[in-house]
Amino acid sequence: MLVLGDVWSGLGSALSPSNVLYVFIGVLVGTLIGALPGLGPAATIAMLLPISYSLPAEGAIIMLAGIYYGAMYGGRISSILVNLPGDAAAVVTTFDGYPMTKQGRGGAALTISAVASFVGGTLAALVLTAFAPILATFALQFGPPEIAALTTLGVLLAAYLGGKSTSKNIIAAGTGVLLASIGLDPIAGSPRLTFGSSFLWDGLNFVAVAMGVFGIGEILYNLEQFKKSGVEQKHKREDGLGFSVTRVFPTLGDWVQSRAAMVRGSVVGTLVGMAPGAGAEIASMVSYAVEKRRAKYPERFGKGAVEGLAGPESANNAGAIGSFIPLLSLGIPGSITTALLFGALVLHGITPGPELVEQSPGVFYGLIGSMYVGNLMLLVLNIPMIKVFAQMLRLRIGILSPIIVLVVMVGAFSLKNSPFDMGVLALFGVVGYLARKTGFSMGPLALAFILGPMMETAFRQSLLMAEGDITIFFTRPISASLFGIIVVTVLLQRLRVLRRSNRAH
Amino acid sequence: MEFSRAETRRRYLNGIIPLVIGVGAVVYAPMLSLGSLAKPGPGLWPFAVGIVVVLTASYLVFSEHRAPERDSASFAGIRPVVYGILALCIYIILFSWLGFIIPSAFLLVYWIKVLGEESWSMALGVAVPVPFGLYILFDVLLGVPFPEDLVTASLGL
Repeated sequence: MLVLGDVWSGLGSALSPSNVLYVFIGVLVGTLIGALPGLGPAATIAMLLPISYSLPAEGAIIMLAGIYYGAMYGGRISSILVNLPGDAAAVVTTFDGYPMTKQGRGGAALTISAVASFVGGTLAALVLTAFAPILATFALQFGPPEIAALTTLGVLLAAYLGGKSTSKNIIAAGTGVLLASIGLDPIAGSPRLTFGSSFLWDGLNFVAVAMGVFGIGEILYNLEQFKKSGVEQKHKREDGLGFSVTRVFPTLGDWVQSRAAMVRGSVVGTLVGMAPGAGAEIASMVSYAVEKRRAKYPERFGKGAVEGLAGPESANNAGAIGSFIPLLSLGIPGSITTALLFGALVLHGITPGPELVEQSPGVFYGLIGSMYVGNLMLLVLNIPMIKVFAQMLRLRIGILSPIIVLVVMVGAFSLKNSPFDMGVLALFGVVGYLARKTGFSMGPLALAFILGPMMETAFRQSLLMAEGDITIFFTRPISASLFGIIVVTVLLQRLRVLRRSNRAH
Repeated sequence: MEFSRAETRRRYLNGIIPLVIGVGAVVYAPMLSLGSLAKPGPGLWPFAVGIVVVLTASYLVFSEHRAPERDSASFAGIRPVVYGILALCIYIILFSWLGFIIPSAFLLVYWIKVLGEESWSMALGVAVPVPFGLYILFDVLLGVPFPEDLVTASLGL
């Protein structure tokens, strides 16, 4: 249950000099790296994970969370100023953000984005503060059948919401589960899929896999694109990127138009972000659709409509923080980035889930407290630095990429002080690159990699409990309801696909 | 929709490669013992997941030819990517033998000068200080125990 004393203590912990410093570093570094075109929050966190290894658990997760929302905002900078989204969630930002830049209002767009992100993030943090402990208390009643149902729902949602092709997402998720099976069997303890190699007895390290597919994979893809665009890009670099940021503050009219959109976006984002597998990307798209539908003159959208920027930006940050709710209270990552944070917490010996509130209240409430501090810091830091961030975009990716490669390589080595993990990193860098080329989304793979072992243990324990009677999943009320949601989700998805193909014909 | 032979082959491979992975899991899993529903063995879970992957990949083999064309699908520009991957593999080997600084400097020079098409001054300007800076950050300040480094050993550090 929510105890105000714990919340207050969490805020106090977040305001300690060391934690404020960690938030500051996280937000600043996240924004700087996230501002670079082609590097989204997942890649940014994957690349900067190594920096957190030597920090205490609370400080590490606070800094990484700061990197997350810093990178989210940073991705807006390249979206708004040069029409280059750093990740899926930033695509929506280009619809009205970039037209504002072309109208000479790039600074105003960035300021609205910063304020909207603050509003969305703060409102979502309030919901997280109130709701997560309640959900965690409720989840303590969950047994293996409920956990099996919840993790299945998480993997399924990741597969359906992960990218354009559902079948490719299901394959990616299935592959993630198989990869997670490598190592010692969680119940029998015998080696499985290790092919006689002792290096694989501990299984593949999620952090090495994630840094590979999201970090190295992204860099390899950008390398190909850089070489492809060649001469044109080189001239662009020499002439500048064709934008200027002079006026930073929006007009009074902009504020009036955007304030309601910010609140609506916060609500949409928090609700969508809470659904396992959904995350900020879906939140920003849903918010844009809502704003366009509500607008008196929807034809303004796509041409610099302030609500088309404010709503999704608010939803984006709200969704990002909303995705912490299933992570902290249920132990189910709500998005790719929270899956990375899950991996980081495990590295520090902390397992997110219903017991987190009781066993590590300092981490739980300290993280929540840091979200308020981090969101405020984002606002205070970023508005004065808009012109500095704009200059960052002139930094050449050909110089920065190999430095990032080195940092990530060191990060992989330091997991177990073994070059084996560097090899895993490089291998999954290739996988990540090939996945980008062939339309396979790596988000479902990453989420399934995290959830797969939980799913397997839960299913096997349930069957052991019920002596092989699979009706156990459908006779317990909570797991029956969750499996019911799974069935409805699958049927709705099939119906949508059928309707789409009928319309096409 | 008509595609080139290369594109058609790529589209089939998108389904065939996962199909091979799924079949591999389905064939290998029984060797681990499937057990029974009352007492699931280590192989039951990979077997079940393998079946899902096989079924979905089979569907993909037949449906992928109907998917819309994507600009990113062409592998025409893959050569620098292959060079980048080879550079990473060589780096990992040299890292184990020579430590952090020298292999990192070589990687930076190669990536910035050859792959990044920057000038020699830029490549050397980054390749000399950055490895030392990262060495100090990770080995000295953060305590990551790198393999014995040729440069620091010869400097007596």
